[in-house]
Amino acid sequence: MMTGLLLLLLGAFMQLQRSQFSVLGSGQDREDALRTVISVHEYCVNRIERDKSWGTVNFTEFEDPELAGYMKVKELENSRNLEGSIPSLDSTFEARVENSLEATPSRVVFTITAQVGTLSRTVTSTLRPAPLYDSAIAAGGAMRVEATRWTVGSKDPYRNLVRAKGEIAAPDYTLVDFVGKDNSASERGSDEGIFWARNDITFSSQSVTDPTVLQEVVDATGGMFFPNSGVNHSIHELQASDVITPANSTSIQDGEYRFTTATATYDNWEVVGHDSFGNPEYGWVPRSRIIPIMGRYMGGGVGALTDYWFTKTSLPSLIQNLDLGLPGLDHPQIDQTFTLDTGAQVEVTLDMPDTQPSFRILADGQVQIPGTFKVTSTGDDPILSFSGAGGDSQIEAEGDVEFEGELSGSGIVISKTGSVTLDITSADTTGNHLGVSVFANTDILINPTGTGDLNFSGLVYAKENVTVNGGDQDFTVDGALVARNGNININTGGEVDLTYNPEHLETLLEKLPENRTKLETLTWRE
Amino acid sequence: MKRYAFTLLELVASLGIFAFVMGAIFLAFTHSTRTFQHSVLRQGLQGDSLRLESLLGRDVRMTDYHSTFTVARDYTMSGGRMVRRDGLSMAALSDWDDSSKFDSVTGLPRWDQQIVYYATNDSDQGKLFRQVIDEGGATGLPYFALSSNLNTDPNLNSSVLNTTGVSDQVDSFEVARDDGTQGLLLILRVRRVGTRRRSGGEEKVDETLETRYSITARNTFPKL
Repeated sequence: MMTGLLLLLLGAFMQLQRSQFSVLGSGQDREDALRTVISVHEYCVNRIERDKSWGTVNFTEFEDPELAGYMKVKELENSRNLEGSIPSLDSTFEARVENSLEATPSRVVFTITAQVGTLSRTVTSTLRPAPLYDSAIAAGGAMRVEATRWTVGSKDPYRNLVRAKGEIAAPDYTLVDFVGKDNSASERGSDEGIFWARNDITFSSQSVTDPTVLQEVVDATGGMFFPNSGVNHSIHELQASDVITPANSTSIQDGEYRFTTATATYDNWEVVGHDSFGNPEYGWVPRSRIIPIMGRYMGGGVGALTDYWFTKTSLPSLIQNLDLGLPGLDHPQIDQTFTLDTGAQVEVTLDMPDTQPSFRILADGQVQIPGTFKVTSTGDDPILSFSGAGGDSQIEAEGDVEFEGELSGSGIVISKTGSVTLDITSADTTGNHLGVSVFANTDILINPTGTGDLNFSGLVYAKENVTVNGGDQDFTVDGALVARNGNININTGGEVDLTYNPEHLETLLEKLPENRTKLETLTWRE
Repeated sequence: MKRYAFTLLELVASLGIFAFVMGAIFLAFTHSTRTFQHSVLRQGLQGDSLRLESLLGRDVRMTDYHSTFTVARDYTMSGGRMVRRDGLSMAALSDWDDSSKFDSVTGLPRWDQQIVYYATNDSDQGKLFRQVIDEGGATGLPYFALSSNLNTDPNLNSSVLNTTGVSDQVDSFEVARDDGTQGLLLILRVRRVGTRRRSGGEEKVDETLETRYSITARNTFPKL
């Protein structure tokens, strides 16, 4: 009787524990099913990022041997379905891939069902290609903008972001505007931008970590602000070789190309007197004249003149014994405009009274320079021009690039190992289609020296710092401004308009190795 | 004829053994009923916790982190202990099968509802509610009016489409936004107090279960 009673009690106890274990078990099954779905999702994303055509046609049977230790996944023949299991979670799964990345809109949809015991869980996710850079302005360090107005714009309906891995110091919030592609007021769109920083975000030295300041800033701008973020955001490291290159490649020697003058001495055939009848008498008369030249200087500082170009149109037509008194190799030209290279892609115009000096890269021309490259002038400001009517052009120097004057046209300035310094009166590279506007392996320094606005079209990318100093000119970038590892300092008495334009950045994706892409999740539905 | 009988000593010894065994059985029974009572309570609490995990987990995973909004609220228990009874809101979509609920250009959801979770703070045993709020129009913005729509009686809240009671044994409900995971950190502590009849009165049986959740909002766009 006693044994029976004890067994009865034990039975009741076990029954109770079993129902408790069953409650716990169903919770664990649900969790394991979710973990299975997430694992399969990551597998599918990884497959498409390595091969963007994966799932555009039916699979041939394939089982990934690399995953054997954790997961068994089989791509089923004559379908776009997968099935498999995760032994450690005691789960099985099925998945379907709908890849229309090549269509418009570019999408991929995964439908994944995981089963653990009797419990099943289904998730449908939609993804799209992600841009290499997702913000109008991104700094690996701090960001400081001082301007009479700062417009943060976006031509992307998906996002309007400002990112800094250091702090962001912005002007007063009344001077900051977000402008998006979709100005819908009823929902959050790209017109309501986001400031994201690993450190503080301040507006006129007031930190948004102060709730009162934050509320004022949000009310005034409609934006969202994430200071002191714990998210580890990575800024893509661009290589000069990632930039699309124009078709017609040529090269010129390195050094400083300086528009300047020289004193030419020569004997001029001219009237030296008149005979008794009043007719002019001619003779060679020593003369001198200051004429425009373009010199190529090598070495640091002032450098040594090694070559120079001048035109005979700046001299009288009948002369002899011409001497410019210059060292180096002379390159007399017939006209004031001439080509500098054998590929005839670099066209130079000397500083003449009726023309502004210019250094022009012709359409679709890529000019390679084995060292540093500078264009300067001791007279009128020169124009560094990219004539992009038939296609954008490019200057690619191994060393530092330095330019004084006016920048115009559609093209790219690249320094593969050094910095880019632009002491410019104005810049207008709108119409650029090559994705990048300026690339520097170290710093980009922009010093406005005139009254013209500074308009850059495309990605302005420095591996280290970007600095825009002084002046009262407006500074605009239509594309993205990136200082991957360094700081961005913009200090102007004019307005700053930085607009994220994904069209420029999409061209960079074309240069990704093999058939790779990068995806981002649009929707996740359970 | 010789009659056999127990001696007094044998009788006392057998009674002693019987009393000892009965005592042991009684103790085991008492322990089992107490365990049973605790188990019943714990099972209820685990049910509450799993219900929250099931509902809230799905809601958070399917929302946009940028739309989440929290209101920190304190409650002082009878014993003087301070606990949190927070409110949480997040954007939601009324119909995931309706293509008009998605932006035609981007394919992103046009969030049109808010889902609110909050624990009442009027008694030691708070209630945890889930409410679907529809204030009309599309919005993916945080629900800034949340703090004024967290009444103890959920029927008094405005623009409510439906209400679900998740738990009626809430000790504390604490929510924090986490930029690191772009998700939410939640701590739910539920507590049930039961009674067990015993000789000379009733005995209180008290069981507490604390569960921590870290859930990523998978419809966050753009990702930070």
